[in-house]
Amino acid sequence: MNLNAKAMLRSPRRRKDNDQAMQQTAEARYISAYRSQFDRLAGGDLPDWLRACRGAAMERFETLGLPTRKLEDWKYTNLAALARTAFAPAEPDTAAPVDLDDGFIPGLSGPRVVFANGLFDPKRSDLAGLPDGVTLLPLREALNTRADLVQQILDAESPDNGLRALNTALLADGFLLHVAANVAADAPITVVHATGDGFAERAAQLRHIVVLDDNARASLVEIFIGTGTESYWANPVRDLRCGAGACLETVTIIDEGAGAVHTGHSEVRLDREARSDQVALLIGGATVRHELRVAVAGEGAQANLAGACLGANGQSFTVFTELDHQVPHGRSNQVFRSVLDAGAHSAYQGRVVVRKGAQKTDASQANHNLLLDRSAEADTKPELEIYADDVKCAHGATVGELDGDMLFYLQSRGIDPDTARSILVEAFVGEVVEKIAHTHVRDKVADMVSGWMKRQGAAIT
Amino acid sequence: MAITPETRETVADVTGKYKYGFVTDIESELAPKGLNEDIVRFISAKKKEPDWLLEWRLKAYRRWLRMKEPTWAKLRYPKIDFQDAYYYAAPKTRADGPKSLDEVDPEILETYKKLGIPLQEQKILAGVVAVDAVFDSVSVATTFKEKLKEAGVIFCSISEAARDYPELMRKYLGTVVPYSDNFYATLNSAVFSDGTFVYVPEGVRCPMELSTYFRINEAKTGQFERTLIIADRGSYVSYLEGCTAPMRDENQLHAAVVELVALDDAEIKYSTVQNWYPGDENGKGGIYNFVTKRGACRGRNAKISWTQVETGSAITWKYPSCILEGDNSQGEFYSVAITNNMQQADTGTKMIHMGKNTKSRIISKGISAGRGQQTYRGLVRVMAGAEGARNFTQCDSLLLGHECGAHTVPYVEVRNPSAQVEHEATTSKISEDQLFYCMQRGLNAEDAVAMIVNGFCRDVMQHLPMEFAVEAQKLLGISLEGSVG
Repeated sequence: MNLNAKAMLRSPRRRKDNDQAMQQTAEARYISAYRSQFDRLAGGDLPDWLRACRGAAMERFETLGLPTRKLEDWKYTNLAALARTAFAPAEPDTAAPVDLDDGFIPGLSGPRVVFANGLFDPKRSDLAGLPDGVTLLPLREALNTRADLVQQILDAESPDNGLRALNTALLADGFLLHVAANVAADAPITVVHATGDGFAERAAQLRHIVVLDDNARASLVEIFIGTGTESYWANPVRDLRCGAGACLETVTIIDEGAGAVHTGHSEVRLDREARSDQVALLIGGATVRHELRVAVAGEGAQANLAGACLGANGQSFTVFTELDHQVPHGRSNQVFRSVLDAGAHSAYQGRVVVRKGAQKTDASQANHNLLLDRSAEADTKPELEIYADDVKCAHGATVGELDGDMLFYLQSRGIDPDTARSILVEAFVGEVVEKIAHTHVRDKVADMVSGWMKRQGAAIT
Repeated sequence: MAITPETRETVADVTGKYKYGFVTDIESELAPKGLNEDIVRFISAKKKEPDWLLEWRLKAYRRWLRMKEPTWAKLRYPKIDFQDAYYYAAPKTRADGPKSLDEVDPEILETYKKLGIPLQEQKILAGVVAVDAVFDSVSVATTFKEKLKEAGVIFCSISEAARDYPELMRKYLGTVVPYSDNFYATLNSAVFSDGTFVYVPEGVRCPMELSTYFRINEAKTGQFERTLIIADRGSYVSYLEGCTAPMRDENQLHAAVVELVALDDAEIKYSTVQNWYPGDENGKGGIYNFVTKRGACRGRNAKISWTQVETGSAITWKYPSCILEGDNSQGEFYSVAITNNMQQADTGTKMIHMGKNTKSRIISKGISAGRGQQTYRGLVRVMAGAEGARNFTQCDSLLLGHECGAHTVPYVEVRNPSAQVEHEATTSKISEDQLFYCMQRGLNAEDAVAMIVNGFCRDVMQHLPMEFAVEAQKLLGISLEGSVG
């Protein structure tokens, strides 16, 4: 508070200079962390290509720096916390035991990968019981045994994202999932990122790589859970590749600790007739960004993205999507919904690009926001960029409060106001939740939604 | 049967690529090329402006020197050399300017006649429209002044207003679009040459439509007009604006500023048919149109309505906006924009809801043909105090041909839960079924497309005053020429 008040007293110009200075020192800190960590990081003893790849990524980060709100793609995401605090890389001594009870989904068995305080936790992971043709490895191991796959992905880096570059430069851990052609890994693989005590002012730079060969199938459930209130930074990057006819389902639950900054970034590439269904729930964390960039690179490929943000108490959420339709006959569908209580902010920044020649593309975007409190704010920017004429593209966005008539109707049936509000909010979020195919996962998410609503109700009364 | 001259004219009208492309040969007085403080002083002196206005211009000029050209719009054009243009061009006249229409150079009157705007008052049917004609940098004629004076309406060029109504000018100039607003508005504030000033007093319903016709004639000149319209309490005014320019191979700059102020219960309706020269099929020449238009609903129940038909210009950069300050105030934006050949347009609106129960409505229809690129860019912002604000936005794009592009970039920012904001957009092409149906009824492809496009734009066209609606509808057909088949 005090700090804020002081900042207000300063002239705007001074403040800007100060921010810039802060930004620069923050970048310098990340760079020096890289230098000191370089040889201890996974793969530090490994072939030259990785060393070169990281060096190049660090140079990119030095040029690009931390993203600021001046960049159009970061207009609604405030990353001041990253510049303020020196988030040091995760190290083995930070891997204190984390209470994981909440991290798993009741009734869901099958393989699991666990990351505790930013590092792979072999004791609690269970990589056994996978069908033939499915490879699931910690990234450290994959760098040795499947260097070909990892190198191929890392070499195809997109050049314009500072945080992604930093992840590549500092990447310490993660996993590799490879499913061979025509193999179906139907049982969902659970990936838990648990953060507990002892991770204050640390950063987790995890890199996950999923490669599905032609006609392969896989399902992932990713959970980010933080138990403390300390400030930490999660900067996970996922690279997902779906070969022709492959099918990938992912559910991402982001329930970070109250002081956390989460900047998840995914790049998805879909080949001919491939399909990817991705559902996300953004519920915990101080500043959370969920960024998905999908390249529809093969004809007839399909992407279905959905997500719900439940925010309160000054939380800030950003969902950023880019659907790049490069070829004809692609389909994409996006449904994102936010429910915002006191002091919460959410932004949806979605872009659909239909390139020249990508005829018969069918793309839709929907973003709906429900404001429960005067101090909440919703921003939305659904963007269409279309260079082909024979396409069907539409988007819709709404912002409003709970419908008074509906509330009245329920109350006239003898339902108390709190329950009535819960029913309406759960129905509003329901459109996203019901897109989750797996029953246990869907139940877990539905429980989280109603639990959140109960907490908000309790806070109001 | 012999072909009558009228038929020939109609055919020329319909097939002529750009019928306003002629140049009027008239002696002009030009300020030296380039831009510096002396030019700003020169313009101010030419207009016999009071000192405060010169100071204001200089303040803007100094600010402009420190500003950077905006690059966020989806527009591609070579860098503009701001020193390679004339910032002031005026038809040479007798030392003290024309006193009445009889003294206006007949060449100029002829030009406006060719454009379809007879300035001779007696020629205007039933006297429904009063016209202010701006030729390059100066206003050459304002009609129906007397009749308007009776009603108490002030309708004159902005240079006259600076001399004759300094209190009103000082009170309102730059209050909606401040001199430091953006790169082009700041440039305009420094060098604005002429434009229209309208003041409608309390309780007056302006007895006729007011209209300004802008014409760029001189080569290598920029046009920087500034329009200020004030509707006092309970008044109403409808204002129309039309623009044309000769065909030239080089690009010419047009950077205008329009400010509207509506006080309690007042209503301003502002309609534009913009038909600056769009350049040829290969994108050679054409006007660069960088316009800042903004209206402030200062009072309760005030209403501002923008209607625009944008068919011309090589580059259009234009966002007519409404600041809804007063409770219950309303903003509207109706737009049809066409980009054909190599035209590019980045246009839209901003609706800023500040007062309680403010309403806004945005209907935007974009048509892209040839290699045209078009972007709708809009902002709807509901501030925390705007209890019960309501917005509805619809942006539809129609693509004709596989080399054009249509883009939609809406921003919605809501800080009040009682607000209700809806945005929807679609992008499509003319369906084969619709075309087939029309052609089966005996229409050729071009007529069928024109008919479907007119239907597509109907929601907007019906908001144009009748005199303009007919012209605008014809313009749609001409602008899309060569885009079918």
